[in-house]
Amino acid sequence: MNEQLDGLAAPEVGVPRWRGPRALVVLGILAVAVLVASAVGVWRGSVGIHPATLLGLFWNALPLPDVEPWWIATDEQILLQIRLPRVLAAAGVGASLSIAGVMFQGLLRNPLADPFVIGSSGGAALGAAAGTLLLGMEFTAMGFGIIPLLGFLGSFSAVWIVFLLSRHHGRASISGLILAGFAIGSVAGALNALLVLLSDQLQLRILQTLTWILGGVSVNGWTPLATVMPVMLVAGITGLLLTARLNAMVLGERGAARVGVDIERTKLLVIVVASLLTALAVSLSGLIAFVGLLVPHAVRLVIGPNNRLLLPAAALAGATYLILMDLLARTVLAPIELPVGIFTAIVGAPFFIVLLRRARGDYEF
Amino acid sequence: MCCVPADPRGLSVSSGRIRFWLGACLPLVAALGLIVAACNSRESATSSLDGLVDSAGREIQLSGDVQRIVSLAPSATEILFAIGAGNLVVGVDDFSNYPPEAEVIENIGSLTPDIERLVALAPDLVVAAFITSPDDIEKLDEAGITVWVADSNEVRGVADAIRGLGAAIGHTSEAEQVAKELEAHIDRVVDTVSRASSRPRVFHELDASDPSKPFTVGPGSFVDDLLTLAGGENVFGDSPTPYPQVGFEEVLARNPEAIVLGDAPFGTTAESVRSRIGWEVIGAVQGDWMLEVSSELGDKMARPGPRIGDALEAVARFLHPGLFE
Repeated sequence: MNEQLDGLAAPEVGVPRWRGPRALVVLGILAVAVLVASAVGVWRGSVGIHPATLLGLFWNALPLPDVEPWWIATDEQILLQIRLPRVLAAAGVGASLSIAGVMFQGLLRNPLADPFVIGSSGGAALGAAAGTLLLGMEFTAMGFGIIPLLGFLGSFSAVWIVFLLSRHHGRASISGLILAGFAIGSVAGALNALLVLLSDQLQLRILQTLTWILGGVSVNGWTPLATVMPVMLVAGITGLLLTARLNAMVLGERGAARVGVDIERTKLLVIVVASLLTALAVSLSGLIAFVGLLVPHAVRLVIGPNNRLLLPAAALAGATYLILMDLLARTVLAPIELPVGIFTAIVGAPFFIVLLRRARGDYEF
Repeated sequence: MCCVPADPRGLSVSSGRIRFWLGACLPLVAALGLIVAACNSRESATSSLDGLVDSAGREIQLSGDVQRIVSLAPSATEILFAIGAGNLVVGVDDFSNYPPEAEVIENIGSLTPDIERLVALAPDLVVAAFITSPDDIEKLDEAGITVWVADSNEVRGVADAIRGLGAAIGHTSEAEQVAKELEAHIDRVVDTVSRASSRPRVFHELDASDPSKPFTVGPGSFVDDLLTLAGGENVFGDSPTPYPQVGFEEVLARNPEAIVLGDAPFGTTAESVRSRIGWEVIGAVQGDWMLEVSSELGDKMARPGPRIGDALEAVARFLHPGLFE
């Protein structure tokens, strides 16, 4: 049994295995990276703001005697009401997608698994299109418009349907999940296309729908964050608690069962937590591709496959990555905002390929 | 002559805006973009030795009388009716809702025309606009149907588009009269706003279903030209593309004095703008200087047709109310 548990902690797959103090160093470095990226993300934007203003605002936010503001009111508005929530949202989305990616890859044992692998992207897009169609554009609830709201519901319910469809006598097979996910995703995608083509209203607003599908961090003030962030946090921590089970999954379903893991329960928990994280990310940012696929692989290439370390490290790396890519999306062609999905792919893919080449063919997933 | 009907209100919602969306799609559809860009630089409808040249710079050989016309764009339909050719129109696109007579004419589809139904109507001439896909024009060419493009990316160019189409269908004098009236109307408005002491900084909102990144207009767009002629200064006049999606941060930093709510036909109101988070500090919101564009005005503003003078005047009156008393 002891032998097997050792196997659990660090499955024998490829590249280095880090644990103990070394793991803490890695997490520490990544945590600093998140903070630095956040600072840069808040400081830089399409509108230039002096760093001194940033420091002054930060100082006044502390429970210390305030300094006299020397900055103009719109600067404060931009920093506190636009950039800060946006950077936090980018961090939350990046972390959530990366965690969901780690979990789906771990559960499905498939290198192409990403947060959207079992139908949630199609469901989200369909929900968003329906949202565009159904209600007036100014509808809001809990700080969310109708598009992100229905995107969230579509994303989550598509995965739920897939899960129910792939279950037979209380058992969901991995292949069944992947294939049913593909089928439901395709159906949702086709319905989405049909909806767009049949509706004049949607044809006129096709760009709004399109850019939402391409993904972009979008928050209006703090209300949406106050709703989503606590749930993200709880789901993320739950994900962390599931990492031992994920490590066991590397032994295959039978192997994992032999070391005492309840396989079907694990599947259910992982799918609920990961698709909840995905749907929450969708509600803040639409469909951002590549982050949830590449970040887990990239981090795994560097620190190895132990999910206990991989999951938090991927969360921090994903947060850093998306903060920086969102910064590019809103500054490269300012005043134009580009969909962040363009940058996550263009910048991420070459970086990832370099990592893959450096592994000299050793990376076996 | 021009059979101007009473009140087109209550007709379908601001369909003319389709040209914006297509225009905004251009970065994504690079090939189409190149073709339209090429169109921009051409002169509208001038005669050449062998035949006539349409707004897209294509030389068109016309054989004989034009008796049956199909229009693929609401602006083209409006021009045809204005120059007294409404009775020749046997088919229109889905968005042609003006004049009301156009709505009872056989419908041949919205963005992509139903080519079979179109051919079955046996038109002598199909009138298209820049929003028509080049693929469709090619298909019609191959089917042996002559296509005339009547359009302009500038407000002042509309008059020439009208003249060109008039020449193509043999309604030269009617077209000349409509074009002249339009030019005179534009001149009157431009003249009036030239007396203004300042040009209000204006933000034109195309679609803000995500208020944190609205779509607006930049140089090269029809509406940007309209805003400028109406005596305003587009706050996104420095945008590198005609229909950019901009960050709210940029809107805030540019602090427009006036906002034209081009998305009002979709349900946006001055009230809903006031309730958007963060927008309350913008000058136009504080000063309550916002124009809720009706679907009728939206159609007029978006269509390079004979009613563009009315649209120009409406925007000019909004930006310079004191000058029009």
